Amino acid sequence: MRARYPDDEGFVEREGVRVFYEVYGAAEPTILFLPGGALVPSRLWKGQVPYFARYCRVVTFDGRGTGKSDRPQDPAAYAEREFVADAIGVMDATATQKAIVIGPGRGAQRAALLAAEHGDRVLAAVMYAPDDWSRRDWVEAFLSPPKERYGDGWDRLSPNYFRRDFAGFAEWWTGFSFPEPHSTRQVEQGVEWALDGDAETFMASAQGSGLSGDSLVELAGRLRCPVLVICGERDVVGSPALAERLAEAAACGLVTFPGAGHQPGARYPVRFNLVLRDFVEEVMRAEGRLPPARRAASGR
Amino acid sequence: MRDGETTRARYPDETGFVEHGDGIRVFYEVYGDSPDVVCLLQPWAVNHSRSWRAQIPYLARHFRVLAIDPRGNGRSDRPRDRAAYSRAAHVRDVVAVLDATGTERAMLVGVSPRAALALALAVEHPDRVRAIAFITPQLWIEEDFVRPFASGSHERYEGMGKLNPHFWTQDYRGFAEWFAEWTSPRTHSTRQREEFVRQAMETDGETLVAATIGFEMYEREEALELARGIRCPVLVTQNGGEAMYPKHTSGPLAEATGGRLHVFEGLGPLVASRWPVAMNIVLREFFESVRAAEAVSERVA
Repeated sequence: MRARYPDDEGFVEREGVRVFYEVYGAAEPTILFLPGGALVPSRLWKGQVPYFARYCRVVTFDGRGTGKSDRPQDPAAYAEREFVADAIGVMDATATQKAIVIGPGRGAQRAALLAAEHGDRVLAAVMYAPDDWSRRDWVEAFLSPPKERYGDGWDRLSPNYFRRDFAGFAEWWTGFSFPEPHSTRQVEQGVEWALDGDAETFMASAQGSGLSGDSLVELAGRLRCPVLVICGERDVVGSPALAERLAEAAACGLVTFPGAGHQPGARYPVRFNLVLRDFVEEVMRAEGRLPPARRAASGR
Repeated sequence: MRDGETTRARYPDETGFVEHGDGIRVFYEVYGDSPDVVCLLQPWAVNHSRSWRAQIPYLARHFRVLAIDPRGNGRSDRPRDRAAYSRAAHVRDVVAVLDATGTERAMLVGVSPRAALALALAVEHPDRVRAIAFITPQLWIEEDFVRPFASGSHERYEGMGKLNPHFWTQDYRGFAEWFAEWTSPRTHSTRQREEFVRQAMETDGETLVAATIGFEMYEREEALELARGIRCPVLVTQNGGEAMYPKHTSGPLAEATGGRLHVFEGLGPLVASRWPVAMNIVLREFFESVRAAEAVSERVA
């Protein structure tokens, strides 16, 4: 059951790969919620969609490899430029001229790439819980030889492990995403989503996608639209240090959620939505599409 | 804000203490400014007014809300003397809060064993009670509770056997933690359990024993006879599961009062804390129906 169902949905197809999108609401502006890593479908945004659909138009899509989208097994199909082209395809299919784009985790790169390479389609960009796919401990774990036993740390990010026990991998990864107490529902939901995928699709996506932190920082420095960076203070999957570098490079605001992990949007949706809404209103005000007094008049 | 308390969705507009001559100070909070007043009666002293934390901000947008800490917990005093916890003393506490807040008549919400307090108020002060919502009420001590409670001291206490005053004074935290698990057994209830234990640990085993034994519950027939005499609108709610007690009072009480029995199908125990939206909507609709019915009778008169 959902708090709100889409007003429109469909698929876009590029080079034989079908990507599933949904549209909610009708008001200006459009917020395009981008896909994150390979373990979460667009339902990741369930805490945001019903709220923003009341004020804006919301477009989401399942990243290739997740949800109702196709699951190609070729790593090349998961290159970041493919995700960006999917996003443009979805914008075209939904007649979205311009959008405020927000990318979570791996998706932070997609938001930055979209804004840098398709400036005419992006009103503003939010990089949320950015991760660094080239970080040393991940690369080492990914390339490590098979082991008898795996601990509770990053060594589980080895194909030798997640191909052997994908369920154990899904639980471990989701647990790392939610260090906050009282997250049992978010963890349960995250594991369920992850188990909708499989080890080979994850493997292909892991090999194909991801920029290094340095490339992302370089990209952030080139952005000319309004930008916001959001991260959780205790995020170990994403990187608060990278978030700081990105905000510095883009000369933009950084909102850090105290005590939060990788998904403040799922764990603290109300606070997260208020932060994002403030940013959306700021952008619209700067565009001259929202009178400056609106919030003051409605506040009490 | 109290020690160890997390931030609140809404803070009271006014707080205060009442004291009606026996030296015991009782704390209350006021939220909102509607002429229609909802009084969230004090719960059993294992918890205090923050057990209504998920109801207060919602109800306060539609009504004026009074919340009261019970004798024995919260910011109210914690006498160790059983006599200080009589039903009559609790009734006087509520009337004193109504007086202090300029409340002529209030719509009451009474929960579990303190539903008996709502009944007493309706019987003794009918002019102050505009309506009553009984939440999983207990007016007499149901058989399932009498057995462990009166079974004396044991080597070990297991399951419902922990509903035993000897255990409370011996290992109060153990009791609080078990009770929290027992009343919030569903998945994704870790926050509810934590909050329950936090409130429980604001008092101690001796105080809880005094507060439990000192409050005179009714006899079954006496309670139902009094309930038949209630003239204000009544709502009785019961959780949908069979797992949690009390469960033998709501049906007879609804029948005796002619009030509506609302069963939260598939939900429970502790609907108010675990499924607050479901509880809040039922309460709001009931109180709005009371207001609407009065408006109609005024026009007719």
